[in-house]
Amino acid sequence: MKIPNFLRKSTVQFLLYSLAFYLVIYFLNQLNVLSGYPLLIIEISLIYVILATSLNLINGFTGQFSIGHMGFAAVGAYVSGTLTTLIWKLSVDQPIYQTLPLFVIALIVGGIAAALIGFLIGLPTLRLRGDYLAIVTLGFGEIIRTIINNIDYVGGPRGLLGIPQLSNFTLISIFTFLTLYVLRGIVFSSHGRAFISVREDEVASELVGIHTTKYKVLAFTIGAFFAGIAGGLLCHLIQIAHPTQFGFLPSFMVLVIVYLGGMGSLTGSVIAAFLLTILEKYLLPLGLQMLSAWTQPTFGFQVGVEWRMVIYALLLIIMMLFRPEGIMGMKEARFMIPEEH
Amino acid sequence: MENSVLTIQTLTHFFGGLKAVSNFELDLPQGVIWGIIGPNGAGKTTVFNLITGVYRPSQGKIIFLGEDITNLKPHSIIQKGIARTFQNIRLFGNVTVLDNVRIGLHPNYHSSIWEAILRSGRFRKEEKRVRDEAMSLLEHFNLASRWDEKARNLPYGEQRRLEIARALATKPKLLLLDEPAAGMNPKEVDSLMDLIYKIKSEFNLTVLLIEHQMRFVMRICEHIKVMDFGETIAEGPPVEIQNNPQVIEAYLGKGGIH
Repeated sequence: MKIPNFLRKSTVQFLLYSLAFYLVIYFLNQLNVLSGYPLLIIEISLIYVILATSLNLINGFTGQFSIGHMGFAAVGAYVSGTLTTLIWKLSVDQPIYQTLPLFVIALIVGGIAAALIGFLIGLPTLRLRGDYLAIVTLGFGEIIRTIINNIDYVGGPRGLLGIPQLSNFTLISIFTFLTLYVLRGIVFSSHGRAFISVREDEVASELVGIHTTKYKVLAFTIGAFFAGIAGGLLCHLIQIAHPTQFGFLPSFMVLVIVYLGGMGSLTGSVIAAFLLTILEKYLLPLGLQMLSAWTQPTFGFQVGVEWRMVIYALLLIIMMLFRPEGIMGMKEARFMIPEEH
Repeated sequence: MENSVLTIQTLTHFFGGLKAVSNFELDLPQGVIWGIIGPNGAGKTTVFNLITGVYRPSQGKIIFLGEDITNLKPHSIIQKGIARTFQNIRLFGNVTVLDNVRIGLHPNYHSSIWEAILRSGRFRKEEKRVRDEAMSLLEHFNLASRWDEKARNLPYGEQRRLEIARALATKPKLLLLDEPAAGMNPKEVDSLMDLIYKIKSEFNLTVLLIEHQMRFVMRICEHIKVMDFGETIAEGPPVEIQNNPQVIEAYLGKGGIH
């Protein structure tokens, strides 16, 4: 059978794969095969896809070492959550044509707020490199968390409760595919090559006429925007925004996804986001439970869920030893590379 | 000078207490190949770094085509029409040969990031233009067959050539070459010389180069400046320089002439 020419176009393929993925999960859910927890895991995986690919733009493509990505997600989550829950007082009982537009607006406002913060964080990166920058971004994440902890209006340390569950699989899928589409468009263009040149050699990049400052700040701004969207989607899915959700450990998880998938590979971040979320939320609790069932009677101690951090660390060490470039290295699946012209 | 491309006046630069460059003067006419020589640590590369804005001079003035560029950022200086290569090759190692040149073309690229996302008609036209221009530059440098190779996998000589190709992608009027012949054997040096002559006339360039290999400098440069410990100790046409006792002393030490 001859494949029609337009189906060979990578953008068409990208859309078809996205649609196929969506429909398969959608129908499996309708048939009650994937309802409940498994569907939630897939939704969270998709949110992590947004987080990881947007961090990849900063760390993988532009070569800036940012480790406080969840700080941006927190801004997006709290801004959108405040809008929907505290100001507009939306609820799922209202008809969808009333809530949906407002929710999308809230998400985008959250994204823009995060992008503004990302812009501000981007500014010190003009002077800082490597580990110094990492410490600034880490500190920034903690500052955001502490500030939220102290704002009573959004619940302080109790978290923002009672957020309406406006996120659903369809909406999360759309935002994920949009993020991927936008990022692949940016990365595979002259602008994308400018980002990459900053990673490869900042001095040489500046000396072939690239405005490196602009591109570093731009990477932070774009990355933060999508992280903000992801934060908004997340808190409207699990119906709570809590400071601990956005601390160092979740940021660390996003970082692990980026490294596991491959620095500078969007495809890798997508694969690793699914892999790690499924591992963390499903396989690991199951495995540890089974392990506990054996250690408890035999040795008299339980292997708690907190052991998953041990497994993470081990996973990272093993990967760094045997495949330091990550699952995909810098390669992309074909449908992630748009036609050049 | 009337038709001078680059004029440098009393350029001085300190690293802490060390005077790396002292009262450097230059009046570079259009269309020439001039050279700067001198022993290690004489301040030659520092002069290049000052011209391209990597360092801000402690004192002095740099005028390029009638415009004061002394305190501009490197990328603005490059966009005005100065390009350079580096003593230790600085390619974008993990990207392809083609992309290295395409990155050099980026400053002359006008589609916005929004157009890149939406893949607008103008964007696609421009991407095609950039690709074609890059390929034709690579053909000039006999690198076209290597376009898909990662830059860091190229052999040394080709990396040097690619670096010059990338510099030319920025459409310069003045090309600064920092030890272009370093690490090359005599045969490679000969072909490098041909290449420099060729691109000089084809791209209508003025060339200023730093070099250690005397054979190369003496043959290619019309005029040479000699630096030692930041000072300009001699200048003139190659024959004069070759027999200048001060130059021989700087290179060989006192008693070098027998």
